[in-house]
Amino acid sequence: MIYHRNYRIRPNRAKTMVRTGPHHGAGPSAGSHDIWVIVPAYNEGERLVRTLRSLCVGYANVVVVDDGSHDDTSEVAVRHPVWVLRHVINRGQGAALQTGLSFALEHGATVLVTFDADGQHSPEEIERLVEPVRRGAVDVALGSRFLGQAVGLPWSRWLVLKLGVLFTRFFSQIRVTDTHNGFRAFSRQAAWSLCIRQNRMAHASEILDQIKEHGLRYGEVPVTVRYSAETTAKGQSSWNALRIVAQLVLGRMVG
Amino acid sequence: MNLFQLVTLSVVAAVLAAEFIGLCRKSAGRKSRLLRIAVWSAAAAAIVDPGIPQAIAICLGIGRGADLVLYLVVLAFLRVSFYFYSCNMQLQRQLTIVVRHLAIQSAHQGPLEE
Repeated sequence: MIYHRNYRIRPNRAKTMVRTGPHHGAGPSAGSHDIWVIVPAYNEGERLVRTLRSLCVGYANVVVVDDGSHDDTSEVAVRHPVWVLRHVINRGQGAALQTGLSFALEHGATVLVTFDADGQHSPEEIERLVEPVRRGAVDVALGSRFLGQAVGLPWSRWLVLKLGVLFTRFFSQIRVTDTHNGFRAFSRQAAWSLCIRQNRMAHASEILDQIKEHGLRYGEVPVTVRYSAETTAKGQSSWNALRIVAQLVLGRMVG
Repeated sequence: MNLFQLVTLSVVAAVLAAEFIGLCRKSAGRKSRLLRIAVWSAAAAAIVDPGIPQAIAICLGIGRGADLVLYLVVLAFLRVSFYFYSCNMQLQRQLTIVVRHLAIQSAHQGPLEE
């Protein structure tokens, strides 16, 4: 096993082990078996059932990364036809995403999708998201709720997200309309070149930085993000935005 | 010599004695021990004769010895803070790599038939 940066296994050593679950072929397209959907989850036992039920209908390769949850997230996930990886302690969403990406790359994934566990995203939109990646038009497709729809988005969150867009344009010099959307699609090459080192929520900005740094081609795809009272309550507080900025700035200062 | 000087010099003397004992035992880290002895000795000198930092401050154009000490403390604090933040981040990343390794090694599949 060869370690590379954040635990990577060289692609030429990757095992090609694409799963063909019971629902294979029933999904949105015949080629959906090349898509690996990575779902980082932390204390999402209740909402994960709905998310996995809808995902497993169309996608044979779903990876749930339980980020050291205290509830029954792993037990819920393992009842579905998905891969379940468990962090023994909580390391943050960025760390969970990198774990899922590394695992999917190891198993020969050609298109990798990151998808939130809380049901904010629609599995029906995955095909539309990955289409430019499959076509080779872009290396990374970024979902944008501001090009698509943000249902029930609180104004305080809207404001924070917009400030995040401005911050990213200023510091990362990358023009996107939605910087912290967890719904993304990567080509194998793009996922391989990424190395998420920000364990916590600052990973979203770090991914954009690395897209710029590696000269990856990217595009935005309109997606729908649905907020409910419980997702808003569990999600990041607006004040956490300040912590994310501090993590990013300090991270850049000390390397 | 006032009470403050007596108390602080006693503490500094004890620390210096411990450092010298360590130096005589030829334990590892001789260079860093010598550096610490130099710093503690400078602190002792500044406590015994506050005119020393004052004279250095005037030479450097700062004006007051207390300001010189303050500036040095601030610089040292920032340096140490960045150093420990960097160490902490590195440790966090290493911990994540270990956790990731364990997670990937123990990956398992749910039932193919739900």
